[in-house]
Amino acid sequence: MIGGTDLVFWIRDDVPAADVILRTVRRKWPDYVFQDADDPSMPSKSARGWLPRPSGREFFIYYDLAAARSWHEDGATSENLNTMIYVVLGNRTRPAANLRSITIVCGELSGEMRALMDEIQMSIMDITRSMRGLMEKDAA
Amino acid sequence: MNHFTNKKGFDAIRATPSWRFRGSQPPDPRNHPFGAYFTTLSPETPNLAIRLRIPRRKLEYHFSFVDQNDLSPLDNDRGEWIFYSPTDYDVVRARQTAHGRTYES
Repeated sequence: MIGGTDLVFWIRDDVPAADVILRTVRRKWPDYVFQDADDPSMPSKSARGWLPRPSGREFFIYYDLAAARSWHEDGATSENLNTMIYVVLGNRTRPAANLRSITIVCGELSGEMRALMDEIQMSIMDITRSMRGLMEKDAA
Repeated sequence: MNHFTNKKGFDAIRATPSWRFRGSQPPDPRNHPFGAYFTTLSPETPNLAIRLRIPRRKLEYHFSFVDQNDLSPLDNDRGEWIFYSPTDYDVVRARQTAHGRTYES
């Protein structure tokens, strides 16, 4: 009764996590489709050219419209496994380090999906470094 | 607490007065341990198959019962609503609240 691979990322509390993830995914999936997890309607258009703003803590990113349709009609299948990621902006924290969790549920962690997850991890590290740099500059 | 399954699973689980949910190995053993899986997400939850990342046909039937806080949460943010028992899990009649078809397929 459960599928997917759950990956946990830790991100600084002041980093716009959804924004970082969406910007990273759209570089790999230019025709991506966004959907808030609580939205029961089938998405009807690609998010190409704009950056969605999630309304809640959970959202889906599909590779394209065909992938969105497939997931809505059939749920997980052997054909669509690597065409959707499910993002949960978590409530777990590591207060001492000012971090909070994100869980991304994806398909098989190999090939292009592995590359996408690595890129998300890199983006999180990059923005954390750049924000730390800005703060140090401000403090100086 | 809820469990979703197909017709075959539905018939097997309700074959005895106490429901027995048999443990099985999810597709990714490195990620999800062997066990019987449950969720606090209700049958009416939008996009349930996508959230659970399972085939839609496996939502066809459901069981609902009273939680007694003896199930383990997943060790990530889905652990807010997905729980498991590392062994077969029995639910006596007094805890059973509903079972049947989840939606018209």
